[in-house]
Amino acid sequence: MDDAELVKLAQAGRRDAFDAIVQRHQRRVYQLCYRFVGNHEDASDLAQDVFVRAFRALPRFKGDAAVGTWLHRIAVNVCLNRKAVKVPRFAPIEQVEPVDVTSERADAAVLRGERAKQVRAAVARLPPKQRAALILRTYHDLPHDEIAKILGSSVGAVKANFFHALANLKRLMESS
Amino acid sequence: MTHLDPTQFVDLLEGSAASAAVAHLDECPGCTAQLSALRSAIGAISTDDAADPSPLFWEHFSSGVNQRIDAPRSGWTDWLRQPRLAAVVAGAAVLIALAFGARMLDLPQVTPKITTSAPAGSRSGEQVVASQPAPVEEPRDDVEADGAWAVVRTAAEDLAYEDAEAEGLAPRPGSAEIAVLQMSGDERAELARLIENELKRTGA
Repeated sequence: MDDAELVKLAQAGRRDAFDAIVQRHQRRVYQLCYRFVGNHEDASDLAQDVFVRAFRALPRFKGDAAVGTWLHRIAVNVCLNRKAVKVPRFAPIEQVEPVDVTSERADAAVLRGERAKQVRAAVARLPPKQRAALILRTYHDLPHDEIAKILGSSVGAVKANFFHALANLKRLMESS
Repeated sequence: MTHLDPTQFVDLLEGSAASAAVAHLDECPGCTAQLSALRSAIGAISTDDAADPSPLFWEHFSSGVNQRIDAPRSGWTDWLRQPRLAAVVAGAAVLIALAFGARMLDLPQVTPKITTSAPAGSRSGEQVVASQPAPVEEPRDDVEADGAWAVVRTAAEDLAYEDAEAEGLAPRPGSAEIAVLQMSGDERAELARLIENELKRTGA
């Protein structure tokens, strides 16, 4: 059964259909939230909030966009509206030694984790639209036109945001 | 020379740029350096693997969503239960109460002037001003029935001392002593009466 059919059943009051939608999209929604907040606890809370909002918005969902796009849109709004995002301190990427991932030892894995944390901290400091464009394009590999639908903007604006996000990310990681 | 715009840079990163943009890189070190910086930023991002919780988490995720859906919707007063907001509201309410109380204590005794008709023998048209005691509002000992206090109490009931201290609402050491020393004799007597009443009420 595809998403559109599940939505129709859910709109008719079938909770099991909505559960199926949740199970189908929960991983992507969680990962999107995780990219925004950088920790499991908040990502879990936000991801659940996304589906609660989706359930309440079900009667108004006309099916103009794909369910995945619709859920991504809700998730981005929920994440961007979240007030307090903890921004950990991070060091310049140049200070972190490159890691040979092919022969990764325990200390190298720790180093890689630290480096990832620094990247997350820098991403968290980007302006909202740039952060959203970067996360959706880089981590979720969505095409620019779909990102434009999610963010309610044009493809050109999405590309500009993506460009500025990358440039700012580089600058943030160098400046600290 | 016109440099590449953001869209062209993104197209170059993704391998979908027009040949003119690619040719521009050969003659523009600035744009070449910019493209290199963008590539290194993407390289840094790619070191961060996707987060994936345990299978146990996913088993409970859907039921967690359903619990939230079935939970009663939050009311407009729920924001009062957030410790920081509650602290701010409680603090503001206390300050307003203190300011109002201080103003009441500082006010001179107001004596309303009531005009009465002139007694016999007085000059025609002359009026006598008679003074009467100001109406006194009975003190409200029953704090449970006090609506304003109920707001403060509701706001502060979930407030931990640590949160209040973090917000700068907690008293400093010696604050109570200083406050009592600055009271007049009447205020101290009233405070003693209130404390006695409260001790009787709670059976302490």
